[in-house]
Amino acid sequence: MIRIENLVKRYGDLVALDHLNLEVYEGEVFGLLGPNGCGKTTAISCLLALLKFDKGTIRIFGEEMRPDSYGIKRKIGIVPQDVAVFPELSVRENIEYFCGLYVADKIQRKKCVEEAIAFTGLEGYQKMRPHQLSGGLLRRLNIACGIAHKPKLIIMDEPTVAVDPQSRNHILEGIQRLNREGATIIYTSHYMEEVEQICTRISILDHGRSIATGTKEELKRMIKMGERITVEGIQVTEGQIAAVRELPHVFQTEYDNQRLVICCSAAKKNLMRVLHYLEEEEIVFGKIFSEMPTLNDVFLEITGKELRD
Amino acid sequence: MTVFKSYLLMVKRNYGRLLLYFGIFIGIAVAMSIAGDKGSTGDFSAEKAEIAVVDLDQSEFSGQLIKFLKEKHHVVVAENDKARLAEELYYEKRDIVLQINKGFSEAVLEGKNGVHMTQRPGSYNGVYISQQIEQFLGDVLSYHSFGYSIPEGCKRVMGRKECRVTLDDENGNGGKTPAFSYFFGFIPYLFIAALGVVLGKVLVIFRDKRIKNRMMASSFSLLRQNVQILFGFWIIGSLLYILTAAIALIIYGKDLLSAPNIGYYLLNSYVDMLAALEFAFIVGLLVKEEKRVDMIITPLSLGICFLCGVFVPQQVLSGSVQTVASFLPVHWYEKVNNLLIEHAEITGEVSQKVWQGIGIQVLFLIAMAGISMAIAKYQQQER
Repeated sequence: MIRIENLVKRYGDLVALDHLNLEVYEGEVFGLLGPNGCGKTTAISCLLALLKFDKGTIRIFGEEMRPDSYGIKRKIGIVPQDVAVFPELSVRENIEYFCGLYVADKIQRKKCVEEAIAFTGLEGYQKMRPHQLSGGLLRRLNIACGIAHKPKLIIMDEPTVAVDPQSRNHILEGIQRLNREGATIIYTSHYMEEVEQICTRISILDHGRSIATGTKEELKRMIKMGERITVEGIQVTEGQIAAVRELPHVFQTEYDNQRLVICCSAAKKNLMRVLHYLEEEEIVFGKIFSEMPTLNDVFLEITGKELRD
Repeated sequence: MTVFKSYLLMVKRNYGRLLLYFGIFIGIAVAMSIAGDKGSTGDFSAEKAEIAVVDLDQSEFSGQLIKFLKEKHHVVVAENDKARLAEELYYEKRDIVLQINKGFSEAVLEGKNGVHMTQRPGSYNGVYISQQIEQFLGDVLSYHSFGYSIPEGCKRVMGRKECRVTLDDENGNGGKTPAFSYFFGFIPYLFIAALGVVLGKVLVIFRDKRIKNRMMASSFSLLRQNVQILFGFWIIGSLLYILTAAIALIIYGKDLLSAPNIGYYLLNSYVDMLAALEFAFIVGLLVKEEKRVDMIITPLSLGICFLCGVFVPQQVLSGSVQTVASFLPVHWYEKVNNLLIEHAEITGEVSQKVWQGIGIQVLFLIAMAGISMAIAKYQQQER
């Protein structure tokens, strides 16, 4: 559905997109994950022909995307990072306005607006002005304005920024529903939990480049760590830490403030082996738990820095 | 017409501002019309002073002088009671007490002053009456020097016909400034302030980067968006213009309708409205925050109006101020308006000047349209 090849965008000396390559397939929720300033919004702006780029090609629905590609734009819905609605218009008038930019037929437009209002749960707020809405409701209005015309491709640029957990869940459920109803979605975020929750495929961006792309399982398989075991309330000697590091599949240990973190490669019974060792050595501890690697671990291992740095 | 309709809707939400400026404008224009009307009649009224004359000479010559004064003023011949006369001056019963001294005739013939004048404090008629007496006596002496007797000379002076003043009504206004001309004189302020604040503000909202991006990403072409916004501008401007003309008709009715140059007034103010629209458009393009529109338009509209002679007559502005103002279309609007005030019948050279003024305003419109397009293009390329 979307093919981005060797996309380069420079702002003076700053390279915002550095030979970015991406491919998005029909029917998927494609996540663009990366820290702030990694080029997510720039990539989206180039995709929508809002920004001129220096090099590369963008093809959407098999056609090259240009500023005057109104046929392609008709099939795209955009939910921008910043809430972009008219403060002077009511909730309903805003949705009608943005829907009207795509749908000329009055009856069809009315139906689309009704559905968008129902979809985002804004029925009770139709006559309110944006300044009367809470942050979460404002985000929902922002989404309603982007999806009312029933686009085949929806681009959502960090739609949950500064939103309370309840509204965030509402928004994420809505995105999954849109996808089930047939829309392809590009979802950018720096919240890895969200991306893990809703995206079928993910591309991790750093310094304007895609450093890894795949399903979350594929991404996690790319890295060495398969399991992280954390033991809290423990007191161990240097010798005991060294012994733990010698256990099968353990490749790294960290001990600080009565907390021992053991990184293991993917293998069965890693936790059992650690527990067995602690029992043998009669080491007392407060709590032990095991975690699968997160996308942050993937990012950390590939780039050497935290996703939220 | 999505963009157009929403634009109108947003302007409608700001109609309070329009009404505010409209109210201020109507108030100022009507007040100035009334003040101007009163001033023009007061300037030309003939006034008669209250004079008490004490004739100590009791000669024929002094009698002729009293007769002369009676023709021009309210004259009472009084007894020589100084206390009573002072009282009459104090209580403003009299403006002047004129004492004709004993030996008046001889004194005048010798070229000396034979009268004594006391005037009420705060009265300015003394100089005027003194001039009239001097003129009378001088003329009688002239006749006397040509061999006429004093009584004969007096008769001849008083029998002289007054100079006849005829009004050469070249401009067709009957020597008066039409009251509605003040209304039209103030129109630029209404158009610049009201259209600038309301239309400029809504345009700033439309040009908000976030909304602009969203609209650019849509299948609605940029050209269609701009055309509909401009159409909205024109409709609102024209509605305000029609409303203003209707108010003028209600206030001035027949006077306005019977004015032979009404067409010129309407054309001139319509061109001025278009210039105000373009001004609002440029402000909308340049200002980034809607809150700042007020802060910019209010001083700018007042400044332009002062500079161009909306609030003060252009004649009282210095040459350098007028030179600076000539780079603004309002200056040419006021110039045409002044010509229309001075000339009800627009013919010959006046017609040429009027069309020249309107033509210059049209050139300003073209130049401002060019500037708007250049700014819009530059902002587009900046992306």
